[in-house]
Amino acid sequence: MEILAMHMANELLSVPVAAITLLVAGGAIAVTARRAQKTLDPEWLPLMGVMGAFVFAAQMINFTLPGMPGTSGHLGGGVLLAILLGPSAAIITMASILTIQCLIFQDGGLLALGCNIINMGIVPCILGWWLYRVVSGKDAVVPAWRQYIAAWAGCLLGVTAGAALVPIESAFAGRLSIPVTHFLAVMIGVHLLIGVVEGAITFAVLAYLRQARPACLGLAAAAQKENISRKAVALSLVITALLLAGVVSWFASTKPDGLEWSYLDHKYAQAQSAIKRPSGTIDAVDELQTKYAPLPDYSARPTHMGAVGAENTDEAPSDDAWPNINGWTSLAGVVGTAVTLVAVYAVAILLGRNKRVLGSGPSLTSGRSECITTI
Amino acid sequence: MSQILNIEDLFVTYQDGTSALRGVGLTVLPGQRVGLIGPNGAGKTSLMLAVMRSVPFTGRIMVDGVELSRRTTDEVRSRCGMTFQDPDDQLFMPTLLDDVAFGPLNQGDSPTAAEAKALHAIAMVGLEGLQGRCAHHFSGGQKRNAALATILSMQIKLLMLDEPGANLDARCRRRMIDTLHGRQEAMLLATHDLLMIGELCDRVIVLDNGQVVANGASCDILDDSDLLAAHGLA
Amino acid sequence: MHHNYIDKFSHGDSPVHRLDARAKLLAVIAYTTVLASFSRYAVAALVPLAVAPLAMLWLGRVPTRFAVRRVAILSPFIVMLCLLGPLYDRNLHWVAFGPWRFMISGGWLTAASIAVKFTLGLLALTALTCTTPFALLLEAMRRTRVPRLLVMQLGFLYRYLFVLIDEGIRIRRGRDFRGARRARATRRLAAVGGIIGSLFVRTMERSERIHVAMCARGYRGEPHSLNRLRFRPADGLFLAVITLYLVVCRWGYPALLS
Repeated sequence: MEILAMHMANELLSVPVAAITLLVAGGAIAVTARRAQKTLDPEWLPLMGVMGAFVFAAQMINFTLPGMPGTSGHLGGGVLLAILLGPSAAIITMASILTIQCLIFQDGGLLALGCNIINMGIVPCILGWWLYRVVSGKDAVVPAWRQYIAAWAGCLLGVTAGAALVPIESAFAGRLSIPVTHFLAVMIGVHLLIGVVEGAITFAVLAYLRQARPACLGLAAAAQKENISRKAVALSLVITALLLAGVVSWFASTKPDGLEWSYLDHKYAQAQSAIKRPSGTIDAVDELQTKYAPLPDYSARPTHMGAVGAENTDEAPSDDAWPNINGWTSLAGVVGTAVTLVAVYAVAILLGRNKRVLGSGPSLTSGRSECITTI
Repeated sequence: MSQILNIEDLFVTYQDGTSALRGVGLTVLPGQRVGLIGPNGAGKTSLMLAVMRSVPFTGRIMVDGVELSRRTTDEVRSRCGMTFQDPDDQLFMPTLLDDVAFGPLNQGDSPTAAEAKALHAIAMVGLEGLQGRCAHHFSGGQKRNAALATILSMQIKLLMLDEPGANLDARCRRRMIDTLHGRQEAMLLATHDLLMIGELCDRVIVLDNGQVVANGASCDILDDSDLLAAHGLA
Repeated sequence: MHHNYIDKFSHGDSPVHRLDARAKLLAVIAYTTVLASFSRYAVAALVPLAVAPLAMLWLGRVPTRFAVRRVAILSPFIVMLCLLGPLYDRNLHWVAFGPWRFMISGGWLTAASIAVKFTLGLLALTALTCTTPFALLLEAMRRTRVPRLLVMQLGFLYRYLFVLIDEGIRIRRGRDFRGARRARATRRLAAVGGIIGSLFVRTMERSERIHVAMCARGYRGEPHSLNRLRFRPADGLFLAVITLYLVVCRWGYPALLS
């Protein structure tokens, strides 16, 4: 069984970034462990390992998304753990989970462990938990709709913030050609969807515990069975859709400014780099080849400078990437409209439903692709 | 003769108000094997947990002449050991050797001495060669033997076994009985398996609803079908 | 349940298995660091780095097919990132392989570089985990000053990982066999919440029972452990060879190339 999360990988890191993140993560764990030992009995710290095993098992319980057969979502766990065990215990547990995933499932590299602990442990457990507490408030009895919104918001923030760090860390490391803005947009966009599913599942777990085992949540008595307000769910979906649309249009808009691309600019840029290396033959054929083929026909070249080898550190200008401004803005428009339409459709379904009482479960969420690969 | 275990007027009540034991008393002599039988919920496990001081109780418990109290908990725990119904709960280290050496190390033995005791105990239950493996690789019978080894390495005087034969096939069950036959320690054996009791135990105590309802030689009690039927045992 | 790709090969016997766990751990960390220190356009310079993991896998008697399958299974995210590179970086670079020279766009070079680094790094990690029982890795960590309580916690995770995964599989089966796929989304979600919630409660209760078992065997909050790692001359030799090899790979060979 394998769960393919978007872990940070060794290959995207440089040694300085890896070292710094490992130190930060190590320091954070040391601090957290000391705090946990003060709040928990020291005898209990090893038992956080058993809770880590629980998270693996919980990640296997998939939720087939409504309206999308074949795709299912599942729990990441950081925010839920923080709500159930407190952020200190949750951070330690997530750190041990990531270490085991690295050492036993080889998922996520050794050097990337620091980044992964920060992105998927510290950030969700602290930020997600904090927002959950802020939204759900300090009352012992929390109405279901508020708990749902709190879970949704906490997971959204926790998951997305953690994911957003991946492109930033990659940018510092400089091993990837993809520009930060695009990488960021994609990571945030995808994880907005993942966060919604995580929020739904987190809420479902909390709803169950409210009734069956309120002591686990620190509640004195079982909460009453409550219907979740459809308006709360609709609101969460609309906001997510708007965020998503915002990300997509931002992604598209980063291109036009950087993309004052003109054929002439490109041509001269190539000409200049060619002149720097006295190769003897610069012509339109070369340019065409380099524009469309990754590996131009090498047999056509008479004499060349000695092999520069693989250590070339020229920075690739990011505005060289896409040729067509108009295509992108119109694509952005289309995608944005589609997202809004889907959101409106979902809301309409929700509000228009006149079926019976929902019980303790929440309703529809948007989806993400199946991320479980089974061996 | 000094008693290895003496319980007087034991009451165990859980936090949710359930009364598990109400005024239980019994004695176990050195080397004696006592069976503890009763229907589900009779209080057999609670009794053993009380002797290990894992649940709050009122009454008097003496283990090998030491009265069980907060101060003497460690000492008492070094003289008696318990195996649980679910062996997975007590095999918690990455390897069998670590699990079996856990007790001796906590008792203050050096790593070398603890390792030696552990290897000896592992050999006693027939698991030699497996000390480097993790418990999740073991079969049910092996796990039960491993759990037994974890307390045998501590060189205790009283073995308390909670359902040692549950979920074992006939062969493993036979082996478990043979292993226990060979032990010299005093034993308190809680089980539904009346045949195992008949083979291993000299005395039997019947527990029902938190109270002792019979206490006598095993042949007498196991032959008394009315008694057994009245307490859900036959 | 048989999770047979874990520990499958780690209890074998081979020259690599017999090496000290600390030495292997140190070697793999050093190797991964050297790998990561190459720039994003390095491909040819990475070639000699393939020797170490492949040698360890071969000497450790780990089947190549297994290792290759691990790489394939874990690659999707990386492949995706690799393939996007050429879209962004169209700067041209010279590349030489022996007598052949050609131009290639930076994006493709980066893609190749990432792919090679990924594969080699993963092979090295696989070589480590398949030739070292996890308990020894834990002890290696403990000996290198990782706090005992944290190491013990990792040990517990490892021990109960498959117990709980099995429980999860059984529960999921029980749910699926009762027609869960055909239920409405709300009911499905409530079921997921209930399953995970009850798993959580059961795990808490199991933790308490484990705690009782630990205390019953005298545990008072400070873990003790056996000493099973012994550093031998062979381990020293191994480390010396690896150091030399890495120095050559990092500075010697690239100098030769340019």
